[in-house]
Amino acid sequence: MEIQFTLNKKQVTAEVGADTVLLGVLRDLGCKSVKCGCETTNCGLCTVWIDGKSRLSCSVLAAGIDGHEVTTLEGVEEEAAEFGRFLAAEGGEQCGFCSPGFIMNVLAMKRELEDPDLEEIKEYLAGNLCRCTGYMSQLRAIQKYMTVQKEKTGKEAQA
Amino acid sequence: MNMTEGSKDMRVVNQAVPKVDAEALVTGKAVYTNDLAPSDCLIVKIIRSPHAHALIKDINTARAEAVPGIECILTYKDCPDKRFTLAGQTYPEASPYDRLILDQRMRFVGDAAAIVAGTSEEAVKKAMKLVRIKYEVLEPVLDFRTAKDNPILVHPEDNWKSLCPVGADNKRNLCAQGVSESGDIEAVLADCDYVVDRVYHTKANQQAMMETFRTYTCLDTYGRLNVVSSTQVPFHVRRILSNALDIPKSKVRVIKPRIGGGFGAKQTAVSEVYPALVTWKTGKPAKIIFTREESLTASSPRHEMEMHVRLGADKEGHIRGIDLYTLSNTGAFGEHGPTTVGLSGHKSIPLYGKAEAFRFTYDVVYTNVMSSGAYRGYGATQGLFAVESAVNELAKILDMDPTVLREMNMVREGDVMPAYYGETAESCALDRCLARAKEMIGWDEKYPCRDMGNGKVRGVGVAMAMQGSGISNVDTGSVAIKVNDDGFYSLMIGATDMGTGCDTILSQMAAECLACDMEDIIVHGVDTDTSPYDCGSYASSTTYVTGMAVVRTCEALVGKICERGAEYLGCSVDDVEFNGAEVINLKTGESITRKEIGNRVM
Ligand code: FES
Ligand code: FES
Repeated sequence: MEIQFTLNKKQVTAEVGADTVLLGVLRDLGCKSVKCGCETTNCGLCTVWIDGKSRLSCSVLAAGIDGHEVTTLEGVEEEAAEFGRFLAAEGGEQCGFCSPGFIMNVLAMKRELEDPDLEEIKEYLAGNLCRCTGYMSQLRAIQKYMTVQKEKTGKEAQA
Repeated sequence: MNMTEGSKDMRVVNQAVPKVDAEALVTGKAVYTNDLAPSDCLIVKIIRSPHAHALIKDINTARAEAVPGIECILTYKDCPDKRFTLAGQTYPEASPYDRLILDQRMRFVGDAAAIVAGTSEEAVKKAMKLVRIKYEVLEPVLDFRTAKDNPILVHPEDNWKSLCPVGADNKRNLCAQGVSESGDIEAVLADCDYVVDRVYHTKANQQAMMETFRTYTCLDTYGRLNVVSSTQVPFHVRRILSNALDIPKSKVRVIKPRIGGGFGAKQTAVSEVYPALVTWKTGKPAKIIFTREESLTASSPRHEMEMHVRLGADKEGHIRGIDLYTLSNTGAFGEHGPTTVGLSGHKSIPLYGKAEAFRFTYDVVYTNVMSSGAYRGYGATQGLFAVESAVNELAKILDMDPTVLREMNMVREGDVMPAYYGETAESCALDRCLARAKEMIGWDEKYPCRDMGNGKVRGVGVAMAMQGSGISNVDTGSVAIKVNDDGFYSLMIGATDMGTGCDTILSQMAAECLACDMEDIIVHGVDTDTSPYDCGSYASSTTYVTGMAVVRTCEALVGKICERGAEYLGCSVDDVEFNGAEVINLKTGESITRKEIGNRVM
């Protein structure tokens, strides 16, 4: 069947089967940031946003996406690069294979939670596995990034 | 020299810089194997044996081949009957040549029975269901304790071969066997006040890198096999593929893109041979992406080991003798079997340098489970777990603080280590390391345990370890640096950045040595056609081994830059100095820039 959806603000169409999962469709459409680590909803590498909410694209049927809005890292590249600089400064991207999915979830968290504490951050990101870092560098990066974001919005509010 | 002292006279090294590939990684750029594979690649999948031990009696592929989109179905009849190893090791490999790409004999549940290649995932999956394989099911050897001299042989074939004298014998299910000793261990143990006698068992475990095994292959303009693969060992993969396909090495080019982690798993060529065979047979590009399940069931985990330790000491706690027997399970194939077992003894027994005698014996056995491989620590972890546990048991018997027991017995700088090839511990800070660890732990306040007052008791424990950076006299790193027009540098390395950051740190070292900025250096790795030979990235050796190659290469290059500079300045090379930006005639003050030299030499 043919489906139509919005991918990173552009209208796209794709020919999919009844059992085609979204992950492969997105990669075929050129969004190579979307990675597959497990195909069983265990690793978080395939995280994208559907209608603004974090979802694991390995477990979403493409057919159900018809008419919806999908965002991948390619669609929020500037914001990703900004947070990515914090991640890189802390050594939180070693092999980098988990980074796109992880970053998508961090940016989703930023939209969803106001001023999360360490425990809330850990809970929100519990589904994003990383084999290289041991997570401490990633947590440091998030906290520093969040602090800077807060300062920014504070300034904007004052202005 | 400590870190702060070091950083004072280092401009680039020891500075926290973002990795040179950071921007691409955090913006999700297409830099990994599967991102780079062309979209018209044949999809390659493997039909795997459901039996631990079986012989293929018949494979009927007719119906499967008729599925639209199927390009080929390959069986053992399509492969060279010449055995090789998938172990990424320096030639001649210690691992026996015991594999074929596809074999008639199935040796573990998951062993490759046939390769299916087609234009789409759906077609391949459909065809896989239609391939009919008749197996003669045989009794397997599943318990590694019964494998040695078992009448059931995992490798009965006559063209099995072992290249190195590691004590391997396929007619006894032995992948390796050996003994090393010094002193009369039985006499010493018999004379000890205490002997701790224990058996420890460590299981196989998975490296679990986030990117599963994957490779894509194609033929280039010259009809050569081009291989892009997620590997730690590109140069070894070149040899392995030349062995597996029985083609000259010159026909193979291996390129390593970004790697989603390795941890030793990718020190074995787990996935490369399958698409390579398809491309070599069909001339078409092909790729294989292991599923997570395949990555866990048909790969290269840590060796399961059982270790029998006998540790003898006197009443005061002087360790007088260590006897270690390691039984290692290499599984269906011998990848890294003969070498990992060595570390279980060679990296544990020498920690106790004062012992009067030691003996280390081992058997590495074939069984009908998945093959083992390399995993961080490479066998040392298993041996250390056993010996260190035994030492802690001894401390308990002696009622001694286990750190004090270690301080009494540990190897110290200048000690000869009979259990480590008779080498002298020339740089060894183990004593200071333990002292610092005790301080950081707050050992003296916390040992043996504290009552937390909330129904919990919290204890502390200790274990020591030794490891090396690389294998001395075996591991090789090489580096080539060229000066380009306009005077920027190309740093060509064969070492494999797999998230470890060696592209970055080697650039830092080069910038340091050449007195330039990191931006003046472009790093290129790894392409076996153009990179200098490197044994690959393993054994925590890149910084040390390839790093030293950077230092030496830079020294040689600076000499050459000075020669050219002097030539262009019309003076003697003895009168010039290179400051990174220009070559200066110290007598006249005349100078020529690196950029100008770069352009003139072209
Ligand atoms: S690939 Fe989707 S969660 Fe792992
Ligand atoms: S950086 Fe390698 S898995 Fe996270």
